[in-house]
Parts: sequence; structure tokens; C-alpha cells
Amino acid sequence: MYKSDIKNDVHTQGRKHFSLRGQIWIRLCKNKSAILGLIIIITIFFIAFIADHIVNYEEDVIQPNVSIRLQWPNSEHVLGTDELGRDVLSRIIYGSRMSLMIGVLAVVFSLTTGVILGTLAAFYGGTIDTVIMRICDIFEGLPSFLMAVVITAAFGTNIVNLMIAVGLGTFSACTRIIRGNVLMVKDQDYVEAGYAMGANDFQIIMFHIMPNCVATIIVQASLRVGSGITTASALSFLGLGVQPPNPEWGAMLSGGRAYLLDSSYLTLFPGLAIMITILAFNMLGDGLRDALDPRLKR
Amino acid sequence: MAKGVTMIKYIFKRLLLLIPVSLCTSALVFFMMALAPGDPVTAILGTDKPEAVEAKRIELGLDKPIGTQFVNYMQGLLKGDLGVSYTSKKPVFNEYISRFPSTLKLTFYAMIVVVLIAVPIGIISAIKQYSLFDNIGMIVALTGISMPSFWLGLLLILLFSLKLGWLPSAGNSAPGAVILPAITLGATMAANLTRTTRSTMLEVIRQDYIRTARAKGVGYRITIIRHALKNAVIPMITVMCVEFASMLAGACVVETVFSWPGVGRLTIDAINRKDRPLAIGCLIMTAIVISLVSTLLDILYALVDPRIRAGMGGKNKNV
Repeated sequence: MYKSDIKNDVHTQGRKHFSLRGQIWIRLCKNKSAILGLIIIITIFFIAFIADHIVNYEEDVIQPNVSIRLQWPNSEHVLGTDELGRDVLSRIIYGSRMSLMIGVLAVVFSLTTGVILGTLAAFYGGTIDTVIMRICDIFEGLPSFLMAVVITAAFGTNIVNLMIAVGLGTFSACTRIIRGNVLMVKDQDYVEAGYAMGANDFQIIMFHIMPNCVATIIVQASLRVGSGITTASALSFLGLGVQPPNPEWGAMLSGGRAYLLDSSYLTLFPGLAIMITILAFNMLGDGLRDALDPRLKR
Repeated sequence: MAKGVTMIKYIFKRLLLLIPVSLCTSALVFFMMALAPGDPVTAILGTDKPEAVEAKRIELGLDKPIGTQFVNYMQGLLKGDLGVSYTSKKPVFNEYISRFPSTLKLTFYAMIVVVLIAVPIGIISAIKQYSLFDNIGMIVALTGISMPSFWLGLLLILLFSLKLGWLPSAGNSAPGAVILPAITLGATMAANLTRTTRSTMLEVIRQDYIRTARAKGVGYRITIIRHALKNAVIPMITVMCVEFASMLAGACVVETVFSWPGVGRLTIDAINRKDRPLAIGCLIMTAIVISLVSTLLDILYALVDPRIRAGMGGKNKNV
């Protein structure tokens, strides 16, 4: 045994042993920006969850009140009122529901599709692989944003369609990433061992391959929620997403555009809300990636 | 000799692959848009004249089965005939082509913005890792990635056009009109490329050949420029190629914000006005332009990078 090995052994004996999950959690906690992102995300989810209790939907969010239109931020309306006299803060609070719902559901949709297709393609290979990958090629013929535009234009604008549009725009990228990961995992010895013990394909995929793809899936999820929210709000901004009077951040921005010079707060605050949310998801995503795969950290 | 033949084969193969991919994407766009709710003919003529609607439907070929319509459409596409716009009554192909230079100009300037910002900041951040410059640069880059382009565009208009009055806020005729849209369009990509440049440079400057260069007495600056940057360029170009497609998509938003008369705004306007032939035409043309450009860039790569050229024999395209 080399001297350094002995030293290492002595070193590790004194230290508490952590599970893999524990190590990841510790690495994540050391990353200040990731934790800040996580705190912001939890706060936004909390606000979205209790929106009904702090804001009166009918009165503050939807009901026009022209007598107090376009008021700059003041003590009564902390972020001012919009062109129809609705409280901007209330609308932003309610808008968080819309944006988070679309962002999260779109990612759930695209990742579920991506995991199923990517795993099938990599695991079975051959014709299945070729067919799935060619389908991805077709969907990648247009950039994800334009694909989302096509889908909302084709199926009409409502929240479910918006979610499907954002999800379908990105499922091919997810499929590719998961496929790559499964390809890497499926030739490992423990998969071979699983077969030797008599496991069938389903068991191999669920209990031997999937656990080793979880890291990729988590990182993708957190990074993609942010871009999903951007796409959804951009679509709403162009008039192809959430329709007024529903409070969605992109739609609010679009409405405030006409009053840019005199009431710039109408543009400023919803945009800030979008940016902070996406920033938080990106910070958490970056942190998670570093924590789950320390080799990538530079 | 053999190498030259492989190269030609490769180029030929890539160009051939363009056909099925464009065809399938066109089919996807065509059938999806054909599914769109609302009848385009009643949208033009109104519902009160059923005979006129029927006549128009036959004139536009909308009475035929959808498969036949698609075949006719693709035959037209090969001849540069994409139908006539419902709203402007002009041929879609001409509309698209007349607007295209404007978008090309915008993306060109946006690319300049990207390279000017991203490459220097990325390199300095990498060689001075964890310095104040690096930390600030990376925070700015992360913010840039998180900032929606329409919001950035509006903020730039507010500051530089409305408050300071330095630059025009709309159109493309005034001098300097391209500056704000180009910055807006380039910002996200610049942020992305800064991060890529930094991480690639960090990887490259730890390689043995950099240490060798330093050991044999090459100056630090020259090592960075001649030895490190040269090797870091390929991943940087890859990011730029991937992002070019999303730039054409981003142009839809940016052109709408700045009333820039390009193909992005044409597409969005066509969809909002339910002008189906114009919308389909724009989307299909954009898809073709994107696949054409990415194929050309792929070929260019193979010509430039000996490592790719060497690996060209491999058949696995699925990665």
C-alpha cells in the first residue's frame, strides 16, 4: 500500500460518511447562487399557491376601474395601476400562477415524452431508434420557438395548447439528451448483472437504467422550466398565448407597451417578474448540474 | 486522393439529406396549419355569400383533399410559387424574398454584437478565473440568458429613444436604426457564447500543448492567442451555428418590438391576421433557410477542422 493511500484511509476514517444523495445536497448547499435560486423559486411557488388569499381575483385582477387608470406606484397601489385601472401588483401575483403552471407543465410534458422516446430509442436501437430520431429531426426543422408558434396558431390559444406548444417545441432536445444518457448506461456491468439475475427489459429500464438518468432529468427540468416560461411569455407578448384579460406576465408587458413613455412601470415590473423567475431557475439548474456532476465544474 | 473523394461524398450526402428533412418539416407545418380552426375563405369573404365562398374555395384549390393540396403546394414550392397572400394579394414568395434582406441585415449586425461582446469577455474571464472581472462577467451573462428579449428591447427603446432621443425606436430607414434591434437580438446569444467561450478556454489552457508552448518560452499573450484561442474556436462556432436558428426565431419577437420590416414580423402578422398561405409560406421558407444554412456550416466545419474530417467515415448520425 502506498503512503498516500494510508493517509487517505486515515483521513476518511475520521470523517462522517454521507450517502450519495447527502453528498450532492452538501455540494448544492455550498453553492450560494443555487441556494438563492432555490429560495426564490420556493417563494414564487408559495405566492402562486396562496394568490387567492392575498388577492381578490374578480375585483383586483380582472375588473376594470377606469377612474384610477395609469396611476404611478403609490401607497395604495404599490406597483401602480394599468391602462384599465387594475392593480399591477395583484396581476403580477396572479400571473405567477399562469407562468409557473405553463412552464412546469410544459416541462413535465416534454420530459415525459423525452424520457420515454429517448429510452426506447437507446435501449432497443435499430429501427425504433432510427424512426424516433427522424421524428426528432422533423420537429427540429424549425427552432423550438417557431414550432410553438405553429402549434398555437394551429390549435388556437388557450392554456392547455400553450403548454403543449411549449412542450412539443422542446421534446426532441430532451429525447436526444436522455438517449445519450441511456446509451452510456446500458452497457454497464450492473445492467449485465441484472440480466444475469433474470430481470426483464422493463425491470432493467426501471430499476437499473432510470436511476442513473435521474441526475440528467433533474438538471434538464430546472433549466427548461426557465426557458419554457420565456417561450410562453414571448408567445403571449405576440398575442399568440394567454389572452387578455387573463393576467400573464408577457401579455401584461404587451399591454403596457403603448404607454411606454408615460407609464414605464407597466413594462418594467412584469418584465422584472419574468426575469427574476427565470434567473432563479437558471441559478438552481447551474448549481444542480455542478452538484450532480462535479467533474463538469470548472 | 481518397480523402478528396470522401469529402465530395460527404458534401453530396449532406446536401441530399436536406431534401427529406425540408420535405418532412414542410409537411408538418402544412398539415398543422391546415388543421387551424376557422375557414380561411369565410375569413376573407364573410359568411353571407355562400356561392361566392364556394367559388373562391374552388379557385384556391381548397375543395381538393388535403393530400392533393399538399402535393400541389410542394410542386409550386419547387417553382417558387407559394400561393397568394389573402391580405396583400401579392405572391407569398415575392413577399418573403423582399423582406428577407432586412432580416439578414439584422442577424448580421446581431452576430457582430455577439462576437464583439462574448469573445473578449469570455477569454478574459477564463484567463483571470475567479477574479472580480470573471465574477461580474458571469453574473451579467447569467442575467443576459434570463432576460426575455422583448423586455430588453422595450427597456432599450425607453432609455435610448424615448428618454435620451439618441436612436430611432422603429423602422429600418433612419441611420443607426439597426443598433437597438441588433443588441436586443444578440444579447441572449452573447450571454450564451460568453459562457461557452469561458468554459472552452478554461479547458484548453489546461492542455499539455499550452504548457509545452509556455515551457519553450512563448510569451503568455501569444500562447493565448495563437495556441489556445485557435483550439477553442470550434466549440464557439458550434454554439453560434446552433444559435443561428434560434436567432431567426428570436427575430419574430425583436422585429415586432422594433417594427422592423423583416420576415419574422411578416410571419407573426400573417398568423395574427389568419392569412394562411402567407403564414405557411413564411414558416416553410424559414425552415428551408435554416436547414440550408446549418448544412452549409456543417460542410464548412468538415473543411476547416481536420478532426471532423478524420471522423467522417463514421455513420452514426443520431448523436
